[in-house]
Amino acid sequence: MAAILRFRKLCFLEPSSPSSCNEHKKQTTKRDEKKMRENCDAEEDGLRKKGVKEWRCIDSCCWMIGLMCTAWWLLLFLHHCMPASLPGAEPPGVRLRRQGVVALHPVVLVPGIVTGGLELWEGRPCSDGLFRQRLWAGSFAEIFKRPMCWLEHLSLDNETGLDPAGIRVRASSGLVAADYFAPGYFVWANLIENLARIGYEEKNMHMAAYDWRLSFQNTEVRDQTLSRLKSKIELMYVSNGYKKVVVVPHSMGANYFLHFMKWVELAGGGGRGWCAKHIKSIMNIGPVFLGVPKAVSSILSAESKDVAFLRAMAPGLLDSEIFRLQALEHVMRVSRTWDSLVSLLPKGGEAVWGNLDWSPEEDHVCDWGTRKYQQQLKTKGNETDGRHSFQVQEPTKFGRIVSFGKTVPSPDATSSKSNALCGKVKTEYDEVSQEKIQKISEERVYTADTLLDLLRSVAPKMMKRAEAHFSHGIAENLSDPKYNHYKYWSNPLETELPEAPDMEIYSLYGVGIPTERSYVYKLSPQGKCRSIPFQIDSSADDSHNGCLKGGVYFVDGDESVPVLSAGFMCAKGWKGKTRFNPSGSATYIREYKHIAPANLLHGRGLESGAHVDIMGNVALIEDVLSVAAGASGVELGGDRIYSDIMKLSEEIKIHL
Amino acid sequence: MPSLRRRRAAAEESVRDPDPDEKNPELRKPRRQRKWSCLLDNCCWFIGCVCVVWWALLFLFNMMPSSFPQYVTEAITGPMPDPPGVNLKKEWLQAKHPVVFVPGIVTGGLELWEGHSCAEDLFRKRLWGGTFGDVYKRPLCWVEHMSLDNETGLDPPGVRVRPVTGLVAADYFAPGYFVWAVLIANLAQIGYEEKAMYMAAYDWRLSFQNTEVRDGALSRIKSNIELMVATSGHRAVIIPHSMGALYFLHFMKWVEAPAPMGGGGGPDWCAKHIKAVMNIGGPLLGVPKAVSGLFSAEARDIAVARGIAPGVLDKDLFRIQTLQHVMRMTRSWDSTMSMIPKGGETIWGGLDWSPEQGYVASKRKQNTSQPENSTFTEDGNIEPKVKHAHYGRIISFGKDVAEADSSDIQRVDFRDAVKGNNFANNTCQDVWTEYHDMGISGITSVTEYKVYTAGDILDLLNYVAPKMMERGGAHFSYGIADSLDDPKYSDYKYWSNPLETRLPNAPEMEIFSMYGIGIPTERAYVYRQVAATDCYIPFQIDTSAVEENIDRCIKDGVITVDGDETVPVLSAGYMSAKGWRGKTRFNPSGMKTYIRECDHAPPSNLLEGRGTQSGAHVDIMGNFALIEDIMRVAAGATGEELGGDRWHWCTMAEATHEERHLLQHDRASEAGMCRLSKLSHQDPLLTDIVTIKSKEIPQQDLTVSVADSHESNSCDRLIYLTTCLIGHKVEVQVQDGSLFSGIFHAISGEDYDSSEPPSKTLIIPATDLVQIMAKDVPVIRDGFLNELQRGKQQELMTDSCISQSRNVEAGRELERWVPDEDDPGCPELENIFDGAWNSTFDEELYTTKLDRGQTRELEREALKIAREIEGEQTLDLHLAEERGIQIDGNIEIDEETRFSSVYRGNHERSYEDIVETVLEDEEMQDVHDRRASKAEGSCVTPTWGDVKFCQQFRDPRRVGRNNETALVEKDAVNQLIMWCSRSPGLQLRFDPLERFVCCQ
Repeated sequence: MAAILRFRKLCFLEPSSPSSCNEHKKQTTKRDEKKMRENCDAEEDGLRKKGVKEWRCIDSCCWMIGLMCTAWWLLLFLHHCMPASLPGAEPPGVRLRRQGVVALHPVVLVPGIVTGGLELWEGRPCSDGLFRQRLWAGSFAEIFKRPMCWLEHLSLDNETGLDPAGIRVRASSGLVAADYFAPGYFVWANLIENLARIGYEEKNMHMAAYDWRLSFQNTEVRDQTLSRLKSKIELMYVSNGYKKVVVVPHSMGANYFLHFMKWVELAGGGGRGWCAKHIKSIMNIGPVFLGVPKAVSSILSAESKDVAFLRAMAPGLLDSEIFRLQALEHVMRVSRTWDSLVSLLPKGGEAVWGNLDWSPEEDHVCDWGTRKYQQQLKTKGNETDGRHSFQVQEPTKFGRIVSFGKTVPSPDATSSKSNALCGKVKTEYDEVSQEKIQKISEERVYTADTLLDLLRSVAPKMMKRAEAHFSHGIAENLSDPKYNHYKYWSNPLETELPEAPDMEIYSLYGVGIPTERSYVYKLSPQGKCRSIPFQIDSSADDSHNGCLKGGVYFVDGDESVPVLSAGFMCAKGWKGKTRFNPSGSATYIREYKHIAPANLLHGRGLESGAHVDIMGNVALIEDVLSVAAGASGVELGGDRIYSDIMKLSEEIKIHL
Repeated sequence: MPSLRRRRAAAEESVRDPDPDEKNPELRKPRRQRKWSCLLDNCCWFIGCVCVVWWALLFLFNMMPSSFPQYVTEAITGPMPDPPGVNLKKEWLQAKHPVVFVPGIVTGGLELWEGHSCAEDLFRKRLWGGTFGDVYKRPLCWVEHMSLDNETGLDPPGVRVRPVTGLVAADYFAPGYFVWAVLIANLAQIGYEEKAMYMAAYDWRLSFQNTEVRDGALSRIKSNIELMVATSGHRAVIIPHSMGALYFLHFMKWVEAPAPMGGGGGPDWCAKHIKAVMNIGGPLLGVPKAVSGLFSAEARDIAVARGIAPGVLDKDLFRIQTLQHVMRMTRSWDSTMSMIPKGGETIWGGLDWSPEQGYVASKRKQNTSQPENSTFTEDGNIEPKVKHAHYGRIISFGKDVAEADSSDIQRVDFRDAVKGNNFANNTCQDVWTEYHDMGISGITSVTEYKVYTAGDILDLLNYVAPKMMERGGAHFSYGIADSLDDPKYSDYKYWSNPLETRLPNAPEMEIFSMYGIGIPTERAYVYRQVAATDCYIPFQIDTSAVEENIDRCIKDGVITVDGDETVPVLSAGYMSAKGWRGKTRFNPSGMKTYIRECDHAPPSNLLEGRGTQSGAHVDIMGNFALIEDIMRVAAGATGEELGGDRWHWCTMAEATHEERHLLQHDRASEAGMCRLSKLSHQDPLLTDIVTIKSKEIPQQDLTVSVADSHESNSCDRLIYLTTCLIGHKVEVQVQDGSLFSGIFHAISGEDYDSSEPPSKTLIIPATDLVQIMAKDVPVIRDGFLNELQRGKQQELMTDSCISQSRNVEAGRELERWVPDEDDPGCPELENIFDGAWNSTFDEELYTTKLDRGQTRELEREALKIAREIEGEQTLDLHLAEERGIQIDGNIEIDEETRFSSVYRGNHERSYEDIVETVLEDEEMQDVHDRRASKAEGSCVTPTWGDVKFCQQFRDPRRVGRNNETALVEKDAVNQLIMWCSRSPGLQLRFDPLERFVCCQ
């Protein structure tokens, strides 16, 4: 600033050549050096004092910017002067507190995939200065500064599924690990704040952060995360007056905690009865018990449309046309090193997810407008039944999770050889021959069972690694000793719940949002570069009942997890005494209808049902708080169901 | 960034009126094309320019590679040393023991969990640590939330402020001001991560037991340590800083105490779970600073003041109120009371005596000698009659009182004085402090007691702050235990006082005391009473009291000693130096203690930040030497492998003066280097290769007997120690950095006559001297011999022994001769030397004049002979005893052999044995040569004569030293016995053939 002042002063002192400056103006166009222009401006300024009144473009620019800045500052100032809290809805915590609800049971929060922060502990030279900074979650600033370096540090070793040599990236710990995913984008923060209102603090609230990239058992092998969780729960149990713990897992955290419960009784030294002794209830929020179809598309072609990954990447450097394909390949290469993705593949095979011709959601109505309408009417009566059945003339074949469209381009044999390498990114597709790809696409249709074979052929390394850690079937006979292996622990269809008759299991999830269920694929056009050979066929649209949009079939769910996956276990699989739930732990389903925020001021809404936004849902928060303060599922009001989960469950016939 | 921009905006707007800008566009648009409006358009134009430039700069700054600042720094100051993490990684050091950090007071972050309406949007934001942003915005609200309940010492109703957890709790105190971050980063280099590092964050405002009561903090630490020990398979290394040291003491007692009050871990919990406790600057015996903080809220540099000082409240108008607010807040914090000096007058000194007496204030200025103050005393030395600083008087009212003789002080006891509530009006804002209850009479009576020693301080605080002390009294104790078996000591209030508890029973555990030295540290205060007005805190540090003298340093009303700026050496080092050393009643299992001092060297320029060699209380956490120590221990090293104690010459642990004196010599000789470095900072000692200029040195310093350590200071010691270097080749470094080497000719305290013509010798005046280095010189007459005799029980002490003040038994204190009251001869004797008095005494009448230089040689010769005799091998127990070899108590010798004077050495020997004995002298040379050649680390188990080694001969201190190996050849048996008795786990035995065997 001082320099500019001096500069101007200089010009005042030497109005030597106003004419020369004018000449400059004539000679030079806008291409002229900025400095020169400023010089002239300054002189102009001087001239102005002498009466020359003329505006030029640059002056206008400065003027505009100045105005904008001033206005911005003013707004900022006003913003800071604003009283801290606008009069708005009272947070549920405050209301409950007034009703006498106070902290009783310690609470353990188990975050899901993607939402937890990761920090760098040791890295390559390119990551200088990032020690203990967040690589994942937080500001994501590093993506823009050094994207390649960032990707390198986030990926794991392709062989072992653990750290690559010389890189240590670890999960952040404490409540900050997953309270906000990015500044302003809350995950757990809302729930934590409301818990605090009724008296929770860090001594009775714990965030069980873990490295969500690893397979569950590997978090114990590398970081002893499961041991830490066990010790923490035991500590909280003792130091809070022998009160059992309420566990609140979210998304993949539900599977993780299933794994934990088996681990702690079989391998963690807790012994039988540990869960019965320490756990009051498990309140799964948007659980992915049976997997999500989304995981398939993200492994197959890195196109999981709304995983935060892409969101963060999309506005960035890599999204320009030139880099787009490469970016996807990078994403794919990195995400295929993450074993945890495999835990999200659909479980239970055709019996659960449907086969070529049948699926439990068969008569699902995809017209979202009418659907809402119908649901309102349903409560009144059954008069629309006729219309209902009329609409669903031809059941959508949801069971075909991946199907290849009609237009299979004939292979271009010449091009496949000529462009072997393009860019540095190598994906496993480089090792898959063109013929095989062709064959894959000719197979046309994949169900939940054949899907695994498909993935095994296109991502052999990843599946080999991960299938040592996860299993996706249905157990025939649970007493088979092979089910003591840890790879079955996170699959609810292949494990028994621990023996804890007093434990309650909740499934809390949102409904009313179209959720990806199956995909229409096509072969990618053969570009110059060899790229990911498959692509969602976004041109595939089905007009007759609106289930197919942009190459994706939608069903009811919370935008990420279909109702089937979130609700089935509590609705049927564990209900009463079944072979998966031998001690008959009580299960409850609490659904939350999605109501989009009315306007922008409401942010992400107080009644949202979306997969992450549901954590700000007032009704859900109230439920969690009540249970944490001692209420049982019956006191909450038992099941609360809006979707047709019960009917879906009926459709699924598995041996219970 | 927005805040920056906003600030700039504020600046801009204050200069130019912003309001018209808003109206501007509409008003001006039509005319804009033709005419500039002077004010508005220029203004906008200008702001626009500024913004553009600002953005451009910001953009450039963000694009700057992160290594750029480092690059600039290196370009200016030269290459930086590699951080220890990088170095040690090259040595293949790897993470082994889990590490627990225990932060101290003030440095841990606190966040809000529930508050009053004024703090609505601050949920889970830091109130303490971080940016302190809210101190500025709403100071009163902040103070309200930071205070605790005055009655219970717990949360006030409706407010919950809790410690931040995780490593972030105390890695940075404020942005850019690291606390643990550097250490964490270095540990991460060798493979540590969060699973093996734990920050034991606790609410540092609470009393220690209350952290468990309210937050379960102790249980949490216990559970975490157990978990880490279980998962890693190694015992934990604990690193407490500052008050954390006390906290962890409390924890160790708590965890072993039975369940209702303690953690129920059982009596061997510590032995099972803890490898080492490495206290960094731990105020184990309290700090005098805590007294002034509680008494008048004037702890000058506690971050409280720092955080608030630059803020709104610091205006002159509000200053007093600020202090009162601060005082009210800090007095509600129980933890501050844990740091009141402990041990009373025994430790901290009484009216006339203090352990630091010999301490020389480090910042001396040139002052003239004061010969008129000196008198001759009986023993012929000139003893200074200079007034010593009375460090024992922690608070004194008025500078004259601080200096006066104890007999001159008239004290009126305050304890029973009546408190009156006779302040006329009570409208003094809304800040209430306990001083309001005292009334003028109470305040005056406090003043009239004049002087408070460590013992009186407690009464004083009880008097002025009865509520606070009542609370604190239930949680802390400050005495010294008479009998530790007293059942009352199982109460938790004694647990954090090292003088009233035993260390846990864990002989394998090690305790380190690591602290900085070389910075003047608050030790005692000169106070004054402020005119009694309603709104003042009635007492203030008398900042006008300034005196800098050779023996004391009063500055701004504060008397300083050596320390790390916050904790005096005495408090940080005493327990490890003496209180716990060996098997004492405070340390019944005899766990090892080590002292590691870090000499303070301030950063040379601003670019170095807070320095890598700092010794200041918090900055020491970035000290490379300290970090290296910690990392080595964490990777598995023991204290012995670190090199045992590390003393610095310039410090004096006052209470353990004699011991340290001795240890210093040992250390020096072991290092094989007599390094006399910076005796104290900017010590204007004269030395030279030839002469010491005494004009720089006050007379009394020079004439005091060098051996009389009670009166000695570093100047004496330099002379004393350098005398042994005469005739040796030395290197002398002078202030301009150049190094002279030559034969050391003399060191002198005599007046240096500058008119003397320059001779061949180089004279280095004291002002230029930095350090003298001489390699491979034994410091004392014979470093090794001295070491041998260290443990020797000296029954009979000669005067010279006593005056050398080594090996003085604790029970035997020298007393000054005091004439009886009724002795008529005394007064005359006292005054006999006064006035003009010429002595005709001539030393040479009676004795031969000694030439100093030659004496040394003669002495050496004599010693050499003596050593040869003494070093002769012997199997005779009694002879061995005479030669200063201490026979370990647990050696199995039957009583007869031990005490009988009949020597049966060869009684049962066969003829062959005798022959062998004859032969062995010839063989021994060989064996020793072999051993010397194999020196380092290799397993040598020679068997010769009667000596067997069952253990590989690997004592790190014994390897590669010239004078030592020479000695080894001479007295193998002596050495074996010594080595054996001092190596843990080894025992010396006589086998049936009466051979010495050293076995495990």
